[in-house]
Amino acid sequence: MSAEVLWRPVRELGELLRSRKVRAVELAELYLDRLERIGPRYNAVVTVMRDHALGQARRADAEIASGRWRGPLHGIPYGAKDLLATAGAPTTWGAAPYREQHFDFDATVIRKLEVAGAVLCAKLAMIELAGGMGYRQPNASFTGPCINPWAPDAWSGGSSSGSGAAVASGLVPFAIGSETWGSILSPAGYCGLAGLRPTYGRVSRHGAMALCWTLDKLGPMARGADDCALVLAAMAGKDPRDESTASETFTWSAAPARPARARLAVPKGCTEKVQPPVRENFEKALEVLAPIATITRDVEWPDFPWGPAVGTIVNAEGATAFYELLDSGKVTELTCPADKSGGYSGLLTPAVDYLQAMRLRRPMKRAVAKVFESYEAVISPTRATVAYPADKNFGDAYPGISGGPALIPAGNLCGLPALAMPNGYGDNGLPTSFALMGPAFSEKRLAEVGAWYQRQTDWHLRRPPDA
Amino acid sequence: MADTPDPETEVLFEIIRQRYAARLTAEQLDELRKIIDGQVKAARALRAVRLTNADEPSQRFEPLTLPSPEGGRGGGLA
Repeated sequence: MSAEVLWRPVRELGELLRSRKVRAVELAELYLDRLERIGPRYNAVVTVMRDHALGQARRADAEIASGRWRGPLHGIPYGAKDLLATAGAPTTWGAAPYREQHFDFDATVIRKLEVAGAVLCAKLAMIELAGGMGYRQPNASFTGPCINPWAPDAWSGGSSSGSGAAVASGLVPFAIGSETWGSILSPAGYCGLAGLRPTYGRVSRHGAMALCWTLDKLGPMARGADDCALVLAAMAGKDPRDESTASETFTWSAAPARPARARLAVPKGCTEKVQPPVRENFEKALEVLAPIATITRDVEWPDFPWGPAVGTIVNAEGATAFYELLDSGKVTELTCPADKSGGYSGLLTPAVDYLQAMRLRRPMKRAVAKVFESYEAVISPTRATVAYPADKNFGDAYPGISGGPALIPAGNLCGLPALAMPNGYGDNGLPTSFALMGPAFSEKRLAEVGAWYQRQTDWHLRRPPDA
Repeated sequence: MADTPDPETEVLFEIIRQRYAARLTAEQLDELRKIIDGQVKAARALRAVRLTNADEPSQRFEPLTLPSPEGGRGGGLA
């Protein structure tokens, strides 16, 4: 079997498996070999689950041979951010104090993907504690800074760092990431991937490390929007073990050949101070979308203290979730210097300030709802820059660059879905990206528009030079 | 001219110093003072937004319910 198969979209891999042109065991072996051989180059992998994966793959082959096809993920290998509990491997949360942590159960997402027939091959690297202690540099995980497959001196983004690097370098066809405050969109953008942050409550958080109970979300990262939607359909759903989960269902068969015309808003100021290639590639993406979208520019984005609100909530909930780590002093075992002490400040968040931030989320949602009365989605560059250098503090990387309205904090505070997609290359040959953000439970519409865009472009089909 | 320390920052920082100074270096304490100063400024930005008495936090508390003998939710404590 040619190694070319490694770069096929999930949907095509699923068809090859269903038609038995490819065996799940063969496919798993190919990816496992890459995870073991190439994974260390990117610091992308914590644990390769060879035996577990081959067991699942053998079952998939037997079931498919007997006519029991579970669906498009049956036999498809994947990797999970190492904050999802798995009974068969350590779950480290990317943090040295938890290197030996084991759970005796699988997170709901892992269980649901197993029901869909997917093959868990690896636990993937992440920023320690998903960045909850205030990291300021890429080297913030006991596995080292995660390297961007597109440039060896660049970071893959965080906190779903390994999920981004692993998919971009063809170590797995899709991965699961998590987002509290940008941790799916950022690595997807930096690594040239599609990353789908679901609506809060769309996907069960049971068995996932808690950083912020009111912000944490789990979502797929893959090369295509269509793949992300296929994976989300398997992950989503009500879960009695997570009372925040919603009863809305998400199904996805295939994107329409031509979606209904979309009304898209470009927030005012979202490209003013971004890197020039980010702006140019964004403008080209708007041109590509023009046949299926009515695009309105300079739409006023509601004026709220988005950053202070999300920061206050992350501080308070994160410090509470990791109170024992902080109070015991074991936090000093973390890797990033800022993480060894930064979390203490969260312990001082007054309850009134936390509640004030939580109260603000209601008028914030009302104001954003007004925007969505006129537009189906907001479109903007995912990030103002290409990926940060792997060896610099974030604050020193790109002075003077900023992204305008705080869309990532706003989207997370309001619990909204967003889809990042690659749209070209910028400085240092690194990917640039744009993002669509819609109202709650609009993932299907975002994926339809995203899949159409990707049928007109080939950014998602390109491969990093040395991968 | 050096900035005048924010009194609110200093008060909060003193709590950290009292609780955890023994395990933190001078450099880490300095860094924490800056982080706390940022938090104080963030809190002021939050408080500057006018809210009414009716604006509740965006989180839901659910009361204890027990299954009724007939099935489904109901009852509460007897």
